[in-house]
Amino acid sequence: MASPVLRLVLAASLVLAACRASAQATPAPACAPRDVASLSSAQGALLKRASLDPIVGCPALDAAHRVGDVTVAARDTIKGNLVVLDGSLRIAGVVTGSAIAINGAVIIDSSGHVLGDVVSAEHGAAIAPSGRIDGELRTLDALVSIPTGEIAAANVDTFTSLKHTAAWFGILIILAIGVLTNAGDAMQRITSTLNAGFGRNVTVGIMAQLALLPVLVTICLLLCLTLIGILLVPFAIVAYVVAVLGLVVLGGLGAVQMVGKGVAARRPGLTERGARLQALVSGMLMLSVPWLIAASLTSWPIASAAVRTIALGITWVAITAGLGAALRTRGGTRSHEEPWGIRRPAPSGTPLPVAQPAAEWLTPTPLTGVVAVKRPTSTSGGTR
Amino acid sequence: MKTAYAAIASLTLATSFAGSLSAQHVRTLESARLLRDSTPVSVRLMLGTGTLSVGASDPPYLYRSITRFGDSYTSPTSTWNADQHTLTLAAGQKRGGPDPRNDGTPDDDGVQDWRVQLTRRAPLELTIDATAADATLDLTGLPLRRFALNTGAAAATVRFDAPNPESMSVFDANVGAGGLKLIGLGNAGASEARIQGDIGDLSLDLGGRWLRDMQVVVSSAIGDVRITAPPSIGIELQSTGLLARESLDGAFTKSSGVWRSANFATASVKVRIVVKTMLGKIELVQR
Repeated sequence: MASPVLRLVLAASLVLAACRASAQATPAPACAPRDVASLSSAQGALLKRASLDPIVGCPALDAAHRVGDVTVAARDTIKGNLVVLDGSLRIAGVVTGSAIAINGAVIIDSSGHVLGDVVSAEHGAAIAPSGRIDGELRTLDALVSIPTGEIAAANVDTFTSLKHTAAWFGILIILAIGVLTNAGDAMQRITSTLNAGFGRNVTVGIMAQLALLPVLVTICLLLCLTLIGILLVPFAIVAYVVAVLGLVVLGGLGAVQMVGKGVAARRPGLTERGARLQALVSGMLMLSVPWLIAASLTSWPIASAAVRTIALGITWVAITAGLGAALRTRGGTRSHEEPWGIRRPAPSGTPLPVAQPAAEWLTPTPLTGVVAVKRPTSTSGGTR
Repeated sequence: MKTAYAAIASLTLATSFAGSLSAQHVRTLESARLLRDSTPVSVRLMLGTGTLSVGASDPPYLYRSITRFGDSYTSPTSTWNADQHTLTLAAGQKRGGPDPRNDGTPDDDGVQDWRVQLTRRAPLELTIDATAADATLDLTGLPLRRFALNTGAAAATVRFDAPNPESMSVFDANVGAGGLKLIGLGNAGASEARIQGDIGDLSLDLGGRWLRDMQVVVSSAIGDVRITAPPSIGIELQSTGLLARESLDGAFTKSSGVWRSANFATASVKVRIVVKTMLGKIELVQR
């Protein structure tokens, strides 16, 4: 059972290798935090929130950070951005970057000079500009609203990505239960086909993906040739898309079930349907792991893109193999060993294969009939 | 496995409920830039939806912008090009993509108020693009060399309560649907005014202190055009319209299809008005 899973991972590695170049092209984040080691976690979270607000932006992180009331004396020069947390900022000297106060006001004395922007945000936000300011003055009563707490403090994007991944997991589980209920046998045939030959199914799946569009175009052209069939083209397109999606979902879930059977042993006492559900959930969980890791790495774009590429590759291989198996089993209706084509009666002279009935239905009735026997009757006379 | 299932279920529930704890947010941003010199500045204000009011600012600012905006709008932006002396302020753009709060609560769409104050100390070329925003523009005291207003589906009011310190080349107003109310066009100091409306009434008050002649071209598809003028200026009106009708109140005479006020020949300031309308009433009052 582990063999198909191993092949799945190997195939995904090939996809990853093909996509590695694009993953490496992801740009690095512009916000480069520095000088934040001395800040408390709450202050760090506040800074992070300020940097996420477009009105403040990256200078909130890429700055010299101070806490409490701060004064830049007349002869002092601060190179770069200056951020003051929980206090007011008075500038009589020079700041070559932007001057930012979060939870405090900014006062620029007549001798003060700020070459960048001056920003005052959150509580007590105010700017008194008596000096020279080359950039823009921005007073903001509240930073952008994001969920508070430790998750938000860590990274709001990570939170969002995890939530989306978990939501997709839930949706797919519901879908899987629906398919298991209504087409469990078909899914089982697909799973058996995948176990019988994973590589062949992947090949069929790739060929099917390549043929998807040409087949659709051919169908439309044939309908157009009949003239009256032109009216059916939109319906044919919709029906085709629905059929393909159905095959993809059925095949994909079959692949998920195969993975689940490979990674989780069947619990004793489970019914057949329970075992299939266990395999589906286990497989889904297994395939969700790379996506969850990618979501949790959102703060590190390169790592996240790399893991996401792996997750995408694994998912694609699973769906492709499933699609191949779904096609080989004609949507899970027949065994993959059964040849394609319409079932025809055997040529004359060849005995038709007769299915053997179950033993309990066998009766001792002889096929050649039973010789009639006269019921024995009494020959003695008598009156009634 | 049971533990794993429970963990996943807990994570799903936790992430779903944690996001809904956030509340709606309306924020206020005040942004400004100090005026460095009196070099002419080209200013463009861009507003998507909401309300806009424009006025004059006190020193030392080139501009002051006060925006009150909900989370469903993007943050206001400003772009200043010091070399070309061009300023672009934008607000009221609806945010695309997912809800920024991720809490699924309805956005406070109605909140987008924008007040902009511009300097009186530097000549301005002012362009306002208001897609679907009601605009109240008090241009009193602004040194305007050129003015252009483009609106989509909202009403606009423009007023000049005092003479323009600068000489304006063109006053251009292109209002889509919603109409325009123009007060004190005489104070605009423009040599030409082009006013175009698609649907809605156009009201032009030619009051104010007139210093030079003006050519006014009014185009309206559907809607009434009402023009009021002081008796001190000479008025010439030429109108064309498919289903339009004229209504004049004052001492006017018609010659060669053109209406002229009785004082037109002797007036020191002459205003020539051309009105093209398809459906609506053209009303001219001079008292």
